[in-house]
Amino acid sequence: MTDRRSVLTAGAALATASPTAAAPRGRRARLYPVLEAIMQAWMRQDIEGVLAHVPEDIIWRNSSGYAPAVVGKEAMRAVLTRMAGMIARDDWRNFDYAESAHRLFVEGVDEFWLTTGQHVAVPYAGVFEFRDLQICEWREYFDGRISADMKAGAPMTDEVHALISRPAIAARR
Amino acid sequence: MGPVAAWRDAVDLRSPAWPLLLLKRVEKGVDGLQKVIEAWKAKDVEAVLAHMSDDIVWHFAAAALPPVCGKAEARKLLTRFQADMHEIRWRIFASAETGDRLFVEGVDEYRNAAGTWIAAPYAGVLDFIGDRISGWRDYVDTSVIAAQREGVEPSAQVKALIQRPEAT
Repeated sequence: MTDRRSVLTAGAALATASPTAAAPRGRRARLYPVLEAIMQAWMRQDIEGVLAHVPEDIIWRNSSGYAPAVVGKEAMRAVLTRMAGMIARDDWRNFDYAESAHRLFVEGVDEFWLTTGQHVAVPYAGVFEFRDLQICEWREYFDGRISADMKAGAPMTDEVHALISRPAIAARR
Repeated sequence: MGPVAAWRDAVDLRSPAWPLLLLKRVEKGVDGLQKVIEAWKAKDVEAVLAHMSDDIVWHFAAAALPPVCGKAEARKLLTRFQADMHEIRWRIFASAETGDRLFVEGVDEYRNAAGTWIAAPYAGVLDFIGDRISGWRDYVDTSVIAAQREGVEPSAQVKALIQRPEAT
């Protein structure tokens, strides 16, 4: 079994292995700015601002397979509205991304504080399919147990802490 | 997806740097991972390890379980996996690269020692130093794996995630 010290060492190694993770690399992002706009809208709980970037037939797979997909803009609006009512503060951020012609990959953390006080941080990788610069399919991969445990009040584990303590991509202003 | 479609999917032709992007793709990244996949399908632990740096940090279930650190620990983990994973059908659906980092989306599918088929959809992020993997983070839901180990049929949403054409 890996002990606490090796986990912390791993975290340090992770951070030092990619010292430029958050630094701009001179890339000309085409798709990532759309996700940035969604993130900024979500963090001010502007649900319509989020939905402006998805088509009517959006498929949102917001689990790694443990829950059914959310299909359609109306269903997404309902889920976002329920989520917004539970979240007091959100610090969703990404550590890096890559794009192909119509697909965006990101690695980040969805970190938020519930209105009931619990602190939740879910490291994730996301894949976003684009059509006409709108996200038509959104797939998130993460361990749902982390989310469930932290919503129930469990403290942040060393593994989560190591993964989320990396420099994030600076938001555009 | 055929090779031309995969190539077009991976390289944005609107970028003035597309010839360089293509060259980079040919040289490393997903091609290196495909070699790892072939080695793992052949259950060749040493061939898998040959693609890892000595100081690899491998989050095989990112955030859910502690990572393995270093080749010696990676060898132990692979040996343990080797005993439990058979008829390996690990495959990649899509990928993209930036700098020395590769993003992939795929499924880890295999028959375990008890004879149960396991299919774990996942997204992975791999950091390279030269042509070796130095950081590897696979994001997967461990409860999806646990349910299948207990004999629960893969859910419709798992099937939707894994029934996609393999990248070639």
